[in-house]
Amino acid sequence: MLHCRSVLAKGLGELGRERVRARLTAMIRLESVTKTYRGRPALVGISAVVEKGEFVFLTGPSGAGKSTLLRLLYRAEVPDAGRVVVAGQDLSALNRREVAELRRRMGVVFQDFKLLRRRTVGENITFVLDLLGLPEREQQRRAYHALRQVGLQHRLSAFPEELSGGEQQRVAVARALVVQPELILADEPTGNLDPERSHELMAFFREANYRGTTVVVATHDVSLIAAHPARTLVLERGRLVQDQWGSP
Amino acid sequence: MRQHLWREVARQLREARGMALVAVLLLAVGGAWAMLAASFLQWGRAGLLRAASQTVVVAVLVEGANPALLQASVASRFPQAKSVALSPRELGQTLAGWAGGAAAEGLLPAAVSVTVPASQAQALGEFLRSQPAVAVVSSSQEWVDPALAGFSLALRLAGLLATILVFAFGALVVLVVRLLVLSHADEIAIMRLIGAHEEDIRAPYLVASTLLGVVGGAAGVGLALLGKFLLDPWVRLPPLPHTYFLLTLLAGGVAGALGAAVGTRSLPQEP
Repeated sequence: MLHCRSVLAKGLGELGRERVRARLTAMIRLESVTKTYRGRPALVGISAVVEKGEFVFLTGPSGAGKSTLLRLLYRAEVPDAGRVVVAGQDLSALNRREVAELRRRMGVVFQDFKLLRRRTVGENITFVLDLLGLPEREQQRRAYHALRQVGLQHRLSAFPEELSGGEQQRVAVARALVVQPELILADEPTGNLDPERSHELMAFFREANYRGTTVVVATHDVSLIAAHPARTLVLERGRLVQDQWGSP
Repeated sequence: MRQHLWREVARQLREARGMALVAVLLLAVGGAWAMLAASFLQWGRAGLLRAASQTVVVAVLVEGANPALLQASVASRFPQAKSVALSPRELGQTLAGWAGGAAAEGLLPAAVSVTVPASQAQALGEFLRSQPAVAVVSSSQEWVDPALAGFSLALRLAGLLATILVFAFGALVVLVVRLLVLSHADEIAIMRLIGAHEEDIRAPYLVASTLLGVVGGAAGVGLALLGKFLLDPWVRLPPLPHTYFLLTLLAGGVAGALGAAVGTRSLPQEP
């Protein structure tokens, strides 16, 4: 009997430790997440865990719910049901200030770039560094370095509307990378890029991932996943239908 | 938002150029008006109060009464009083400029003019009215008091007008900020998405509007000084007190800040 108890306690201890470990290492935890728009389900009962330092593709056809899921992750939306936990924080429970603080620790590459159109490329990059309170000189140095990484250092003083779609995309990537975030969320980041630039961009994400950043890339481009195999979550009509390694 | 704040403030002011100029002018005119009106009315009031410190009471005598007897009884009762007897001839000469032919000698009675400190005016009036030799008593307080009341009312009205102008400035700032917020709605949404706090977003509007208020107040001070300089040949107003300047700058700054605070309440909200 005593032996039984000891085994049970040990087992429960292991289970508890496992749970604590999971809580400590999970960057993203989705628990039965459901989101509907005017009665139309965009996401239905999604549950998944993305560990810290993981590289994950989110794929599926148009309208599968990839962008909605990302919007939930950077708290542009709140779920109708279920929980979204990012970096240990339940996003539904955060106040405005905490949401802003969390977003400062993320780098988000938006599908439509979301560059500040009245600011130059350089100011778009330094804006996020300014929010972090970095000194001006450091901001300039980091902005130049980030733009050089994406090959746009010569467009520092240009305004977004003077750039091509691909160039704007690269500025958005530079803005996301420059803060050295814990988590990168990228929504169709290669949508406006040629194959060479796409692979170059994936190399930036990989590099950030090697440094410990968790990366989630939403894409419908299966060839991109084939060329850069990683854990892949496949969505269809708002449901998570596959969680696998490499392209579906 | 340190470096970006000032760039953004400059940008807001550039974008709101026309309306910002109108707002500044409104505040400048309001401030200058308030300062000059207050100074002018205080100057007039001070003159009236000086005049009111001594009261002149005129007693018109009945026909055949002796002014010297009345003067003697006034002097015994009111030692501080200074009385002057006005014969019908002197009264006629005094009134000749005003009344012309009507003031001809023979038609006028004799009178006694008594000057006393304002505190004794009422008692003197009552004393004179009780004298059988006196037909009519008239005191300068009868017009000084209504004039002082009129000046106080004018001062309040001038203050009210200045307050209305300051409020109009505040309302214009609200409008300008709302328009700016409306035209920047997309940028505000992006700033939030990349981690800007609410105060990071509101600060440029608040700083730009407060600056507008302070600049408007300063322009008001300049206009008031110019107005005083131009009025000097006609009215020698006392120097404008420095507290007026500070109050105008403060009122401008507060009106600007409040206007922005109200204007930024229309910021688009997040879920």
